[in-house]
Amino acid sequence: MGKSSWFGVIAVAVLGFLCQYFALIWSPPEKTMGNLVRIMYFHVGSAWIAFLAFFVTALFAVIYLIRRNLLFDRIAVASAEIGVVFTSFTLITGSLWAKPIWNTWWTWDPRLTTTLILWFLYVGYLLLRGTIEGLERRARISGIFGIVAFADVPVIHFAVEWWRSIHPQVIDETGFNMPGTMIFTLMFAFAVFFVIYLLLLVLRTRQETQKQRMFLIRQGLQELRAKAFDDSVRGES
Amino acid sequence: MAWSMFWTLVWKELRTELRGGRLVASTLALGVLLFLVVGIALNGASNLTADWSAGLFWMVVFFATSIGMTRADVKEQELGGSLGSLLAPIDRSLIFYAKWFSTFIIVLVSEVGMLIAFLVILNAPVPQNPLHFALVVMGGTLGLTGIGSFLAQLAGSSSLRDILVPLLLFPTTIPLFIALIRLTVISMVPTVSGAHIWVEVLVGYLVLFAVMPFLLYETMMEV
Amino acid sequence: MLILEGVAKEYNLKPILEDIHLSLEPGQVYALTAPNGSGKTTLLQMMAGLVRPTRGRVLWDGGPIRTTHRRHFGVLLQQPMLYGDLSASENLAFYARLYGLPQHRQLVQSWLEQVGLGDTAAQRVRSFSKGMKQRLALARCFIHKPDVLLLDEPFDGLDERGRAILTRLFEQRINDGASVFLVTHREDEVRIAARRYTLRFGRVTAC
Repeated sequence: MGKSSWFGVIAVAVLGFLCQYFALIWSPPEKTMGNLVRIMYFHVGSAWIAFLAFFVTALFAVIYLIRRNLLFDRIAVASAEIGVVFTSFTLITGSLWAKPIWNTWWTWDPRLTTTLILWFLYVGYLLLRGTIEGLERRARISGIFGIVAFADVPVIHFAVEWWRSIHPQVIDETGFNMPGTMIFTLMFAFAVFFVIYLLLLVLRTRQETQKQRMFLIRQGLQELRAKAFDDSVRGES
Repeated sequence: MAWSMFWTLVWKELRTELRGGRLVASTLALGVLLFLVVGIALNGASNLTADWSAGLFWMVVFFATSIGMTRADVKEQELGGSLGSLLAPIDRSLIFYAKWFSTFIIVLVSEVGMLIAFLVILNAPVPQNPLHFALVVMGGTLGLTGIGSFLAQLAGSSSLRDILVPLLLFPTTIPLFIALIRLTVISMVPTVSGAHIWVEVLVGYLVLFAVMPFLLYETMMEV
Repeated sequence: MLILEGVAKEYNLKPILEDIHLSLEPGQVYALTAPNGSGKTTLLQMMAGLVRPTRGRVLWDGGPIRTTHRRHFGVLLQQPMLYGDLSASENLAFYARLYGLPQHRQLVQSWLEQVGLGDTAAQRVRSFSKGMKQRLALARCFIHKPDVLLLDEPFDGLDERGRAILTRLFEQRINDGASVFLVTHREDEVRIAARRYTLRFGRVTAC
């Protein structure tokens, strides 16, 4: 890691502590949920970041397909991986939140269901990508899937939403009125998560670049070895 | 002009299937088998609600189709025939649409058999509105085979292809899946309301996945 | 006229072809000799529009190659590019229709006889011997009277009869003003070419 990355990590650490303070101590408890509401700052924050990450993946997939520079592909995959991680956070915190409030680990809440489908879509993206030979082909194929998957997201969202609203409502999901302090904390948490996302994106993309460089070095080495072998065979004959 | 090319491509696909492609046979066999397994899993339940049976019907159709989808292209790569089609002076997305249409016909044929198994083995309620039901089945199959053919081509170069096609197909088709189940329930029990929303979802989905290959297929077929 | 302008192709970021300039003029025969694994097939596929170049451009009549321009190309690769489940006549009819050729029934029949497959027209291609598949591939390649022929080792795998047929088809096309690009390693084929090139380490050089 370079100097700038260390600066980023330290900044994230400071912001993270501030965020914990706002979320856990400074912001007030909610009327009906009490202190349980505090998980919202992490839950909603990760959900937004996950969505943003998948958007970035689709965006850079489009840019890759136009410009054909593998850097854009590396950004796309880095973003998808981070997106999957944040989707997992969203699902886990959602589950933890649902248990005390709705007395169940899983509900067919439209947003929760959509998030789980998203998780599968992008795990599929990573699997697809991981099993294709050839850097250029891999970038092209996974890019196409990244675009298709993201175009599908709104359709999934509305379909699941309508599906649940037509069914009898088991769980009453009333939006609660948030006081200004809570909104501020939520926005602050989102901003912190966004900085974390950016930092991870930079680091992961850089790592992917190094991986590619290693791959090329290894390839060059193999060629040199093959050439040396050829020469030695020629020398003997 | 484009139409005659399209039919030429469809003719080639269907002719290949008739000469021992066995996609109909394998999809149908798998579908009927799945109904049998589901029946046993439900402990031979004799009357299921419309909600359940509609869901089971589409689950079996989706599963059988997604498994069958991966086998379709092996044959035409054997002697390089697919390269020959790519060289022809036709828009390459036409190749996709022809593949889509022929897979649609093939799956539709095997669905007739699956439907009989569904009514007999699961003792499912006969749809009170057969015309609506037929339209729903056709629309659903159109959507399923469209995205299925696209994903099968997309995952063609993956070493995990046989598993990946269902794995990618199921999450992408969830909206279609929900819409089809709801519309099927409505065709079975016409008193249930809300059809227009699901027709919208179905049509929207079909439009989305009919247009996207047109934009992306050429890129996908590059070597 | 087909022109390659500084074309390059990379796979896994490793250059396979680098900075290739070629122009194929009507009525000329070009021969390229290349060792195996040198990217000759990739070069041919790129000229035929099957492979997208990483850099550079392939031009037809001064502009990028459009869908309709593909009818000017006749391509013969290592694979015969046929459908095993279709019969010989069905295969040819399929391509004839894709190329929008009129009266394809008579056309297919005459081509099958030209390549000596008139008796086996109704048999499935899968059951054909290698030589028969190659002869059918010749018919597929020439049926639409292409203006540019891109041939990958065309005489390989052909029987005596097939070679005679190919030589004849070849001369016909050249007399009609087609340009021929031939990838080969055989001396006698190189001799018929007006211009000769070699492909080594991804670069094409005249010789």
